[in-house]
Amino acid sequence: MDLGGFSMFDLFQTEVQQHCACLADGLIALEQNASDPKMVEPLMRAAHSVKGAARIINLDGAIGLAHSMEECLVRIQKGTEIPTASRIDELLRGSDILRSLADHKSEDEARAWLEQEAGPISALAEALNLPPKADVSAAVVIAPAAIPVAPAATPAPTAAPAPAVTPAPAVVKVATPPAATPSAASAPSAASDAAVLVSSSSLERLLQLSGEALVEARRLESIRRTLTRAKIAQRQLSAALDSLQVTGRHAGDAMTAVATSRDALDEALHQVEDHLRRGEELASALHNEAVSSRMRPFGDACGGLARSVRDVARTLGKEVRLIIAGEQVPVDREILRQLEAPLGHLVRNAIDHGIESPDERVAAGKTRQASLRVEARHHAGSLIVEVREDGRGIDRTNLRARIISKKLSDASIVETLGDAELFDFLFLPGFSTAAAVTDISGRGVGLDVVQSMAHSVGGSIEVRSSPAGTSFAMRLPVTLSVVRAAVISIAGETYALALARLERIDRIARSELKTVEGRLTTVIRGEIVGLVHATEILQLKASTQSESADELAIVSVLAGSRTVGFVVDSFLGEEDLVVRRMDARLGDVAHVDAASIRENGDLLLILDADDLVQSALQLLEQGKLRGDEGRSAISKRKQRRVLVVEDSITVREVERQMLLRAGYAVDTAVDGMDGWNAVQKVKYDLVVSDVDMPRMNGIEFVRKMRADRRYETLPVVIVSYKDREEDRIAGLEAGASAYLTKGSFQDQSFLQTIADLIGAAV
Amino acid sequence: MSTSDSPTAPDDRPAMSRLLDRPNRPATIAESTKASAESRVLRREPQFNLLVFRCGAEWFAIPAEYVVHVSKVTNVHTLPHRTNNSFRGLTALSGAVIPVFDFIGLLGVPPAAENILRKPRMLTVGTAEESWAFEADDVPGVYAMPRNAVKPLPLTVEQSPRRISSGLLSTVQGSTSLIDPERLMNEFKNAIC
Repeated sequence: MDLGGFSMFDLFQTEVQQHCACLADGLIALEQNASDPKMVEPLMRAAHSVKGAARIINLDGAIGLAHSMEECLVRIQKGTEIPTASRIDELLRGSDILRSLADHKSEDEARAWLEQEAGPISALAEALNLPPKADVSAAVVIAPAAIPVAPAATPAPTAAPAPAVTPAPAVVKVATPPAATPSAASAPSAASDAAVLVSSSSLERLLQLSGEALVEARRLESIRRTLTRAKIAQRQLSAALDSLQVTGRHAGDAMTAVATSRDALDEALHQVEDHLRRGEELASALHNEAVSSRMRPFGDACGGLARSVRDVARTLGKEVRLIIAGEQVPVDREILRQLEAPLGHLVRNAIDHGIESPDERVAAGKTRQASLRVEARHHAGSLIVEVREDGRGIDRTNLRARIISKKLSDASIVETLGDAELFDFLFLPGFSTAAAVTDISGRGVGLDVVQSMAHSVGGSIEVRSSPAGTSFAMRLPVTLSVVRAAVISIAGETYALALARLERIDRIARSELKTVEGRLTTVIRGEIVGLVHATEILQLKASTQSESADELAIVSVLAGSRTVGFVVDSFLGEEDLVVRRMDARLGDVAHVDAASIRENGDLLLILDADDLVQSALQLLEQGKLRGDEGRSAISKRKQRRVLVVEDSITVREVERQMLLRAGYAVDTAVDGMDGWNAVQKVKYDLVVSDVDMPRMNGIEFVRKMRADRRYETLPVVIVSYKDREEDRIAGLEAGASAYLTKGSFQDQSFLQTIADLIGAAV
Repeated sequence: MSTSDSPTAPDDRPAMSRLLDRPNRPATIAESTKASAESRVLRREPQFNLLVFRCGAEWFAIPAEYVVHVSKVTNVHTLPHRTNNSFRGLTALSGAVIPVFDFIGLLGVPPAAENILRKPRMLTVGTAEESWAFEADDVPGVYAMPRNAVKPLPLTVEQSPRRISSGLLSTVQGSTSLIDPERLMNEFKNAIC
């Protein structure tokens, strides 16, 4: 294994994160089963390993703390100490400290933090060496996280708590198949031993090469076709020779040669077909494996849940039994990473708002201990992650009252809302049903965050509630590496849009395009749909071929409750595309989400539907869309638009206000880079720029525009504090149309210069 | 082989021993001395391997270790809002998605005369982790050159803030600019953001 790319601190991080996850889960299990010395052993080992790892990079405070934890666990194992709840608290706190230490970005930061926290850390180490405090609240009982629930659907043991939840950024874990997990009842097992460290760039490269291997294997297909053609020609040759009916020695030689070449061709064709089939099988197996190496078991996202349930329930005085099902269900690494916070929030939310206090439960005829079930399963091509409790259910009357009191809707409307619409309000930012903001679930991170995570990966969330309990079910894509997409052609090039974001695709005749108030529309299944040329949003030149085609395709995307149709050249079909993230060097590319390589080896770009809709609506508002040629006469007289590029917020605001008052439309950018991005998105009549700015200064920015044919003639006014002659010359030499100092705001020279260059505002 | 300097006295050694033991002729000694002295001079001179290519009317050479691969010309996909004179878009090479530059547009190289035959190739340069591609009009191959064959740039080029060359070379193709790979990568980086 090549560890060349990882620093010692990276390795320390990964190791400590693994062991702390093991400690946290194991300690909670231990609290339930104090008498079992077998359960203490893996915890001792974990503490010992952390101590060793800290020793390698000399983190003294951490060594001492891990040592005290290990000693304390040794006493528990020997039976000389009973693990009381407060002792478990101390040990958990120790594990937390070590975990946060490893969460620092660099070794230096970790060291500084350790120094700063030295007091509390050594106090905790000290406390661990003393006999445990008398326990005050042993009343709270929490089921261990790892009860083997074993519903029929999950035959695999659910016992082993998953290791590291958030590995160091450059490192991913690849585990062996779940079948290898031992079925120990609850002890943190050695599942992590089966994982190896692989750098994510190496994994990415593997995916690329396996994809290319598949493309190459399929290229044999064209050789096969050539051979087939040769075989047909050869047969015709043979028949022609027969029909000539010549005799003699030469004729005999020719017949023999024909027979030999036929046999050779047959054999070659046979071999190529065989090779093609095997090569393709092998390459697609390799490719599938590479794609699926991005998957991790769902259990990896549940590492901290047991702990969080214990702490929250203890604080609120509730009795909760956590059941995790489907820990082995494979989930895309990226989704898993994003799932962690929403899952934690749903669980805290369930205990805080859903589950009643033990007394309330008994009064309602339920068991004292509530059950909280977290489950992952695959259903109809999606991943379902559900958090369900058997609490009191959502109080609809209360919810309606809150909607009305927050003036989110009228009483008359609220009364008619069904469950689905009513529960939608729960996901509004800042909407909380808790009477008081609590430390547990009312701290700003609301259900809206959960919903936006689901939306960001193209999923959704559904709520169901009855007096017997409430369930939040997230429906997410199984993987982010493969997307089912509509492949389309725009300006003669291939693009794709994820199907999940599309409403529908229609082919229409060009003659069916109509205009309403000069804006392009068409009628699809009896409904009028507003249309926008995709080439216009993407600023591409329509190919002459597509301009004259009789048939067009309309891709309809939902924008809120309405639909926007994008006019594209043609619809090429549906395909499963392996998603390639855009090159980081390119930064954010407007409207483009990712790239993909098709089966024939060609590249296509996957467009961001939301971004397209956003831009379409923006352009429509600004009256910038061509829509139809008839509008061009009006647009000639449109308001002039100025871009202000300035890093000082005060100066930026002064310039913006002055220009607005003079009647110009104004956009702003905070530095040259930002300005460069802005001029590419919107057509400006003039740019005002500062010189001294971070990332890209004004001089570079002007040079960059002048080097590009599109902005060669765009007027640029530099406004700077620098008033020396050489500064002015540098600015004008870079290509600025005018150079002003910031004193020009006082007199009229700022506005006058602009009016001279582009005329008055309208 | 020659027997001209055989001793006159009879020799009873076997013929092979006689052949191997015979003294070297002074001419032979002088020749080998010269040859080994010469090769030592050559060996002392540091060499580097350069990939030579033509873009437009000019010839360029880039150190071979910066060349990731040379391949057939591939389709380049426009990148909306980004494609311009110097940046063409993206292409798929060896299963990776690589940004493609217009070398001629980026550096302002004059176009070649129309009668010059094009044998275009896609050049990928950089490192395995960070590579960039551009289309060259002709790629004759990799040449070994002595390092001291690099001549300084003319003052006009030397003073240009955006130059990418570090020196000039004379090759069979004529005057060839030796590319400073770091400067070239910098130009690429500036052109895409």
